Amino acid sequence: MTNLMKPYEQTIALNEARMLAARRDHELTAAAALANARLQAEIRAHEETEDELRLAQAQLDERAVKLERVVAVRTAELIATNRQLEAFVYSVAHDLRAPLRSMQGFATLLTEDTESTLSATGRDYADRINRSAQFMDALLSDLLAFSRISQQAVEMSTASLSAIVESLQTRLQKELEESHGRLECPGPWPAVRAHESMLAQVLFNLVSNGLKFSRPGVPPIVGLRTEERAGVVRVWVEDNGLGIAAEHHQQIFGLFTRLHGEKYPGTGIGLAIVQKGIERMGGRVGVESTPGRGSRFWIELAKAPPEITGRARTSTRPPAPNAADNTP
Amino acid sequence: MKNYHSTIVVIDDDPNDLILIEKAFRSIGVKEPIHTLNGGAEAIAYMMGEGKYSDRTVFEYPTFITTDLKMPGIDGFAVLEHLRSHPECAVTPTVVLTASRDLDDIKRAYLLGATSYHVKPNSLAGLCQQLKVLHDYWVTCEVPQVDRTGRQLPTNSIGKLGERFSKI
Repeated sequence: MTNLMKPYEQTIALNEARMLAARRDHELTAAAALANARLQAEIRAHEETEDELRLAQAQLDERAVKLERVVAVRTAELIATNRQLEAFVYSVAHDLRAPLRSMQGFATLLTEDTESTLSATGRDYADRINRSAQFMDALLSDLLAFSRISQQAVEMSTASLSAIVESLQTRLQKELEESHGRLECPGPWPAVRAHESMLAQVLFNLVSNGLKFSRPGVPPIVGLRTEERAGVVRVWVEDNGLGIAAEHHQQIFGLFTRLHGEKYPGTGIGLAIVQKGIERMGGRVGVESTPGRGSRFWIELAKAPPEITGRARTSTRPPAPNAADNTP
Repeated sequence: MKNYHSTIVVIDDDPNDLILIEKAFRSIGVKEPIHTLNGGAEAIAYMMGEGKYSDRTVFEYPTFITTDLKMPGIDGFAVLEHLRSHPECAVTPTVVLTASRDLDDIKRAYLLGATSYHVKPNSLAGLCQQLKVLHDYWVTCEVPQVDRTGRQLPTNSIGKLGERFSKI
């Protein structure tokens, strides 16, 4: 049919086609521009979101830094407070001893000085002042020992139980004689991981408690034995003494806890030292006891590496020199 | 036993301790004059013979000193330093008697020339025992002789010791 078109008709058709093409072209361009604009808007929105995210992240970082700074400051404050507290306990215990010395000294002078003319009642009063001052002195020195064991650096090494047990016999000589008591420690003594002088003090406190809290008329027998469990050595300190009611089993490890009042001397700090020392050496401590049937205290410490265990078992070396310094 | 007169000086900031230490010295039979000085400032005034201590017939230069360490103002360390900076007047023995068991205090006291260092015993009986050991020991020791001002007497012997002190 086109072939039948006249030339002008062809021109018109061509023009129409051109116009159509141009319009379509225009429409397409507009659509593209629109799509482009939409895309750009989306990109902008995305960028804005990213900016917001970055801002939020920055704020978060800033907060984290601030928080870390606050934590660091608080930690430093806590450490400082703790140090102050340590120093405080130490100086209190230390400085309180000076006036105490005076009290004891002058109370003694009241009863013993030739210039003193006290009646029997007066001397009795002075004796009471003296005894109280002595008790307070014991309290303070135990408190110092407790504060030392809480603060001193823990140096774990292979500790020889046999050496410690041997030194206990010597250190408790007087108590054993006075109480007509007996120490039974057959062994064997595997080596443990411990701070030796700390362990010596812990065992000293447990054994001397066993000798002290005996039943009237029954000479105390304190037994020391070990039991190896998975990776740990449990040391049992068993006595035939008063025993402890179950409701007191937790309480007795607290500071200043005394169950028997004036009947048995003491400051109530001994077992607190035991617990603190064992805790600092990463061990455990416990008690099994029935009133009237004795007590069985136990402590658990990690076993020393085997090659050293073999040597320590046959070790006969004398007790470490520092073991004797820590009389509670 | 040394054959010349000796004088004991006790330095402490606690007046109670001064009384107790003097009592303890007396109770173990010490007959020499004992002067108790309350604090480091008084101690140095005494050594220098200043103020009320200028009369050396009463306040003779000490031949035995016990000093506390922790004292307000001029403390025991300052007293030791003073004695060390006046070697011709140094007193032998200069014994530290303190409540402090601090290892740094012990080290510093010996560095400053303390003759020995003792922690004050907690009971009067302990104090007596401690002072008796010290006194019994030191009265048998030969120490440089001093004149009334505390200046050590020149020795007659010809030798390094004599030369050294004649130069001072």
